[in-house]
Amino acid sequence: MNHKTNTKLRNLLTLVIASFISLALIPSTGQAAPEIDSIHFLIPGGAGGGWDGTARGTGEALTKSGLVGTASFQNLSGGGGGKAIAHIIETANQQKGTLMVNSTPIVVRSLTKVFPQSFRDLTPVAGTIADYGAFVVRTDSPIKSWKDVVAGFNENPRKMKFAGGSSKGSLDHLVPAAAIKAEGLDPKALRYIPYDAGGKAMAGLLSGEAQLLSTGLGEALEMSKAGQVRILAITAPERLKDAPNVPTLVEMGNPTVFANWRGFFGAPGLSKAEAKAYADVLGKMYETPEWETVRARNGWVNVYKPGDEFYSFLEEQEKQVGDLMRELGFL
Amino acid sequence: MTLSKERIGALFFLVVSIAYGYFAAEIKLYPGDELDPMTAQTLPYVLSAMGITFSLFLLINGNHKEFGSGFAHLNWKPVIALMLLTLFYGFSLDWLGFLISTTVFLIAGFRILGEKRIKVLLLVAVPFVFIFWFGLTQLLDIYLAPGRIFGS
Amino acid sequence: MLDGIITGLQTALLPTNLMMVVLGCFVGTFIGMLPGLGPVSAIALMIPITYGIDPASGIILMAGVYYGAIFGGSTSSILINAPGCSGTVVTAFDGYPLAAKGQAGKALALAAYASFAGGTISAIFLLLAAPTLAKVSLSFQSADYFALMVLGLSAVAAFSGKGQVVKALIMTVFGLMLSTVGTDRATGVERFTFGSIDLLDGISFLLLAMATFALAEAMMSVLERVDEGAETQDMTKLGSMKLSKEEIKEVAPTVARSSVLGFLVGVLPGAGATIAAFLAYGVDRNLAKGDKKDEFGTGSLRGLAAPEAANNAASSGSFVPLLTLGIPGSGTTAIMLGALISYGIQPGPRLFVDHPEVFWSVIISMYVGNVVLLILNLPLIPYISRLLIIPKPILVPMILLFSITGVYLVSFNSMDILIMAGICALAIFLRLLTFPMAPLLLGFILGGMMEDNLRRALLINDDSLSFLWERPITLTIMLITLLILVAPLFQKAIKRFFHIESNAESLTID
Repeated sequence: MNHKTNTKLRNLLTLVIASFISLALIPSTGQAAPEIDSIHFLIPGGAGGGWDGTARGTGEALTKSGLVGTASFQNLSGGGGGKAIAHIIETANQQKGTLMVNSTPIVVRSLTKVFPQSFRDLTPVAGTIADYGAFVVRTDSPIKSWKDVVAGFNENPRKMKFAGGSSKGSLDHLVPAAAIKAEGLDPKALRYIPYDAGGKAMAGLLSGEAQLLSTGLGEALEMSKAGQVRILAITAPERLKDAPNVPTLVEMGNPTVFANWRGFFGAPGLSKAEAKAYADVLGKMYETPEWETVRARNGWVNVYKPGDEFYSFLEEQEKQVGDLMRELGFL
Repeated sequence: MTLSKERIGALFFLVVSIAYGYFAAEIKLYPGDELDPMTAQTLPYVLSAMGITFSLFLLINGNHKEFGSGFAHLNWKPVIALMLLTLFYGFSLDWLGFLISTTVFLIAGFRILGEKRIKVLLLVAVPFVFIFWFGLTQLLDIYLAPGRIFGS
Repeated sequence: MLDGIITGLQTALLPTNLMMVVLGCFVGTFIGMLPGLGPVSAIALMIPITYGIDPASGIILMAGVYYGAIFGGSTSSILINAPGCSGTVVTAFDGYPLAAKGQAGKALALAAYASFAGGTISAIFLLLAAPTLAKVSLSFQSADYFALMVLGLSAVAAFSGKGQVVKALIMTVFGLMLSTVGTDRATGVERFTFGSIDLLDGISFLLLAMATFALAEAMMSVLERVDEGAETQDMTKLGSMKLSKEEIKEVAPTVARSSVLGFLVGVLPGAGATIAAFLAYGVDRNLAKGDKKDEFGTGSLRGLAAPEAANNAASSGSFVPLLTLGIPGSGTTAIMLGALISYGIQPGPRLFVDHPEVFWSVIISMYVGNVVLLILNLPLIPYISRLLIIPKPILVPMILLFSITGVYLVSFNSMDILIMAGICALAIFLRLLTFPMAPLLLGFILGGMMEDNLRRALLINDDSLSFLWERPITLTIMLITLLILVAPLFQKAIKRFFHIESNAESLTID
């Protein structure tokens, strides 16, 4: 398919609609010659999801800033992301120009053998953004701090139930389990209440059926701005500039640090030089105002880990998550 | 015991329910799960039992008399051909891409149902597929992967 | 609050924003008519376009697309039995039989009126009671949702004709069985996937609805080609679009009831338009008497009006938790939440205060959207239903193609097409054995949610079932369910009683 006409026509459509509503919306075209002509993004989930937003946001920043000529986006869902991984591996020789977006669940799901492959079967290009785990309570909750959670858990774990937007054994479950374990308590005693989406877990917290909510900081920040919830602690290594008032677990003497990264992978067999070119262009993206717009719009935190650094980070995370899951009996 | 339509259905669901119950035992449980009042296996077991009960009830109490007009007079040939065509479409979409496989699908479908004029076949299928493709890829900006055999 | 409404009116009635509503409705109707592509896809596709324009207009555009998509979805449900989105699956139950009887025009017009009424009633509710309702919806816990799903399942009798109850029960159980295929949402273990990666995410509701209704129906029409002439004549007739006075009298209470019910179900963050439509259909079938009851499923006007009013009302209702609490109750509102946040607008209790123009203009443009849809669609009905004049050899492959691509364009996984073909073959087999299909869908959609909520309720209540009688909301819903199940038995007893008293009339009752 011809990506160039694709974008052109899309711009044309945007233009037609924009002029239709009498608004001047001029699509910015590349100023200088792009560093990479085109990138094809493979998205392992459907339209409107987190992976979809990350890939399209990144593509938008890259093309609008002129770093990349054109971008195309392919959704392929199925098998908890496994379908897309299998696809990029099977057709590797046709996928030189493809970057697949992915995130921490690729580590978890290859550990639990949801799919047989792992990040080692792909070419890690770069981790680009991160979201930290956050523990949240209702504004009127008697639980005022992380210390209260620990004390309450010590007394009766059933009085400290964590809600989360995914099944048992997922990140929303593993993060509080890790934090509880770091306090010297039994993570197996943790009562985790699974919901099928973050929004529903939040509704569960607000309805009073769960005492705590384990979620990503991005989602938690939005809710706390609305004034209905308080964030007790986050799993970042230090306080974040987007949330200066939220304490980290580390500063309260709990060493748990956990980042839910999002990043990009190339097909297996992608040469070092090609992978580096992609990683470099992603690195340059952080300097552009176009990226800042996208980042601020979505409340993402920049965490750039190119190439080998990304690989060793993934290995480390795999060990951290694997140890915990073994202790909890999931492996 | 006559074999009425209801009884065939009841037998089918009896087999399905028993097989379902059998495979329910293979659902993995994590250590400690068995202490929960409701595990991943609980509902499947209940459903299997309900399915067996209802289908046995239907087998015994159902309508035993009419068989209706049977299935032989039905127009099976084109339906089976359309089913095979659907399966073929599922395979060809990945390999031949959207444009070719959809055109083939439509032309073959029209033919199976009795439209023989080649002009009509082409004049309906080709423009339609093109407009559909144009609308999806160009106006709605949906990416459709090219066929694998054309891979660059 | 009056200030707010006036600001909202001013914003919503700006020429730019009016154009936005019209444009949104138009695009939405078009996308919605394509089977499978529903509001979620439609809005996701519009998001990049809305980034350049001001927040109120962007949200108004998306709201227009939302209603348009649901509205357009009912058109394909009625004309070709291929639901445009999951919210309009129930519409096909009676809408398609009506079209098959040569009353496509009336069915489409009734759908338009019922949607409009549903939209109007819920817009009024939104204006009056949004904040209060939001608080009430938050008091719903998993135990209450569980009870609600049981109530919905008790409607299974509504989906079965005389002497079909056992078959309907079997199909419901089968639907429940299919809902357990895939990754268990509570523990994350695989169930009945047989190692296949394509079953891991479960079977999608839309795929199941498409395979059992649209695909199977198209195939059946080829299979049972009895008398070409007679059938085509019926189908190509548009029929009158006018509803008679008696017909209006008949559906008016249904529309009113279903709108209120739909709105209330829509307000709950854990339910949504699809469940609202199923519930409204079931309730109305239970309330119907005698002949009217038997008409359901064979082209009942009430059976068409109920889900149409309810799904539209529910879509408006789902804006209550979104705007006042910032909680998305459905996939569609989740995308809209993302879009709002990217505009720098935080939905929640403070939205009234911080951005009154956004809050009120969305609600008012919702109503404008309903008016626009009615004006836009009524004149188009004769043209749209021309579709049915297309000769069968051309029409059937087209319906197959739209149903297949409708599912494919959501997942882009070609294995879904093969799964569809398999389910379609099974559906044809079961239809030939005279098993009803609707209970299968009912069991499927409610089953998953029933299991999830029950397991959650047990976890929360420390493994005790005491919530069934300790929580007032749960208890109330359970009692209503019991009443629905037991009432028919009493009815019979009462009838028998009257049979002794006066003999002439009672003969006709049975």
